[in-house]
Amino acid sequence: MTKKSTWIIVGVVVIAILGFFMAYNNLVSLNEDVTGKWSQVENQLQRRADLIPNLVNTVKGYAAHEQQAIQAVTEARTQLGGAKGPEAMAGANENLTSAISRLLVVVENYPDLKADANFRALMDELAGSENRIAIARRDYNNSVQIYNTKIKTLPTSLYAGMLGFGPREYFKVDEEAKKVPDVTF
Amino acid sequence: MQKVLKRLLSFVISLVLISSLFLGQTVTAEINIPPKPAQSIYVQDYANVLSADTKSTINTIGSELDKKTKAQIVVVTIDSLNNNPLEDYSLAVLRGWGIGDSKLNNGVLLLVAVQDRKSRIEVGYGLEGALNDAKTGTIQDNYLIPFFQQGNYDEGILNTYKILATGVAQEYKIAIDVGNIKTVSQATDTSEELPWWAQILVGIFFVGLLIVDWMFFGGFFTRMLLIIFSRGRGGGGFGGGSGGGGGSSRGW
Repeated sequence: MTKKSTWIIVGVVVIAILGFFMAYNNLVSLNEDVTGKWSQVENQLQRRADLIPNLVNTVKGYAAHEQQAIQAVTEARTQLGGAKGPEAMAGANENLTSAISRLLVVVENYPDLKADANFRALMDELAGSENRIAIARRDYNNSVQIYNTKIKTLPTSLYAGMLGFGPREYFKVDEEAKKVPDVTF
Repeated sequence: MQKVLKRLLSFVISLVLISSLFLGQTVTAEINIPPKPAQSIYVQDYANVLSADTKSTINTIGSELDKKTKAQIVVVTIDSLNNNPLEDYSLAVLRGWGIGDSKLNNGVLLLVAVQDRKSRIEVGYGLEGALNDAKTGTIQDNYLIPFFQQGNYDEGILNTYKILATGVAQEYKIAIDVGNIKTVSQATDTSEELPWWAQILVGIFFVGLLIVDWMFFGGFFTRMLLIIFSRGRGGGGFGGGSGGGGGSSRGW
């Protein structure tokens, strides 16, 4: 073996090792991206949940006897607080969304409430929150898709499992519940 | 023979690495938005509802605010959303154009879809405190919608722009004059330049590196660098800011 070809082999090995490092770091950063996007989803879910007490109090001020609709929202909020993991949280979040939209239908019968400045501000915050949740969810799912595709396709699929990179869970939403309550006045 | 083998090997390796970089880089562009403008970046009047005066005032205020705070407030008017949801469209523009600074994410977009009779103020992450959803709703209720209902888009948009600029200026605790601004100040290039001989030396150095790379590594590092840089900023005046759906929508 000539001296020259030894150097070539050394070069190839070095490049292969570098390539492995890069592939591994790539997996780590994709995985971290999913985690980061997930915490964004949790933040936005929390943000909406935090609006609920204020919403409930404002509605109570004008429509105290709509107990059932108010109760449903409060319960759904508690349920979301106890949910763990993307799938459970997606389900609890859907329940909260539909409870809120039922409450808002009830609210339609109270013109004084609808004209209340505090209520209008709350509606903007609520609509903004819904929108943020939708976007955080989409960002998260995109990120999961990129990561899952990466670990399930060649050449990554050969070693991803060995390095401890498993698939991540999507934040699934029923098409039915996807409809955000209409809060324009 | 050995030379051919060497080139072939380095080619295959770089191909594998590059393709592994590209995998998963799926771009999700479901909404057709106008291309990122390079000029007059603070106002893009695709619906032709603004006067030349208003546009120049907006560009003046916008560039002053941009210089002082790196925050970018952008107005976009369009005829129709083409059945896209308003919120998706405005976010696509904010993110797609990269309005605001890439670290501060302090972009604001006022989107007006004239034929759809819909408007939205989209706020980047960094300004969600200064311009919370309720505030952007109130701004539209007080300064935008009343004018729009009279068909006066020009006045409504200019008013709203001034209010937004004032709000952002307050957040950064700077003074900005939105009333008496007369001329469009040209953006000046403040980057310091190297003397000519140093530039030539740097140029020769890089050409040398390129030659070495292509001779011995089959252009592997050149390709890597190209990929890295092509992911960065593509020029233009926007800073690469992003947002997560803050703001509010209105109709009239």
